[in-house]
Amino acid sequence: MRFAAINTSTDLLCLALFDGPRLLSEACQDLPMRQSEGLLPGLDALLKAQGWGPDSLQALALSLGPGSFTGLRGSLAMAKGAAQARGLKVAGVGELAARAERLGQPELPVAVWLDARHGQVYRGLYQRRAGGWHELKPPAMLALEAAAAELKAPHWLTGDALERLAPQVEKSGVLGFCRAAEPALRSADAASVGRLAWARLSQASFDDPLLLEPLYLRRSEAEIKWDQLHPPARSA
Amino acid sequence: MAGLARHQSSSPEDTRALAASLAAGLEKGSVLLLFGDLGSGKTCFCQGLAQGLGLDPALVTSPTFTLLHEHLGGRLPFYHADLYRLASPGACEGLGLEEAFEAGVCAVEWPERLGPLAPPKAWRVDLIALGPSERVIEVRRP
Repeated sequence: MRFAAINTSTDLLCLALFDGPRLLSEACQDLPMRQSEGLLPGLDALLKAQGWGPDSLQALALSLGPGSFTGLRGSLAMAKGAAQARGLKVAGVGELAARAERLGQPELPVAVWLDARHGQVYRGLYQRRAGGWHELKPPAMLALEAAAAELKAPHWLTGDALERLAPQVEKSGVLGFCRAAEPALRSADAASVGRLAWARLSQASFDDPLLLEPLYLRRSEAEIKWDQLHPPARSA
Repeated sequence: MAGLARHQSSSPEDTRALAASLAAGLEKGSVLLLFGDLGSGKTCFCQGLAQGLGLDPALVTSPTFTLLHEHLGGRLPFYHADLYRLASPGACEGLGLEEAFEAGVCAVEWPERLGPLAPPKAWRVDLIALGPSERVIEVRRP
């Protein structure tokens, strides 16, 4: 099965082509707020370079986030359209798991921290076991301090919070007993999305493209505060 | 340094000229919250910002229905948001507004809708109508 993997969960537009489990090509471009503009031309360029026509793809693998609202909306809209128009199969994967996947096959459990702004992180906790990744806790949005307090034993740490919230990470003390992933392995990519998706595609496990939604892990704090400040008006 | 400057404007041209001169002090990540009633000159102010950033001000129109306009090609990307039609901060979040705050200069009309998502280090601009074309424009730097 030939498929394309797409990751627009950050400022980067990341695309890859796979033939089954085999990664054939990958490209990343920094396009903040404009990933959707580059998506189809970028995919077209990769297909041409590979000598594949527009009908050669049988599936799309997508990062569902959490991450950039603008980026995720664009790639999901494209995937839904392509699935309807060309009958492509679609498999969505979580971005937190994809960041863990990018570290290969580590023996330690992996804590993924992505900056969710306002001192919060999107947190994923995973352990690599025979047969794939095991989710130790459901993905969540937490204050960085709360995410740090969960870690009692050595973990690999990855994700952009290590740079973007560096002072808080330092202050939390986790760097004393956890290992930070190499900076080059912390960013989003499409190859990891494709590898995770292949585990599903190869089992004929697909998502219904029309029901697929980004994994926003919404910042409920904002909603809660707003509701506290603005109780819903009762219409007469 | 935070500070308040109070300006008088007697025409849309004055308002645009003031905003154009302020644009020189803006950088990537600058957010301007524009407070003022309908017709107080918020979009006019944004046209001036665009001009000051090296963009064609005639291309800046009210994004009341499209919510967010993006203008590229100037000194910095310029994002122009109008939240008049949004009901809550949750809707602002889904719009990707916080990404726009980081990606360039962002001017927000009806910023009351931002609630707790309003960035703490934003410029605050109050446009107060005194007459058909007379305005007082108060600018508070972050």
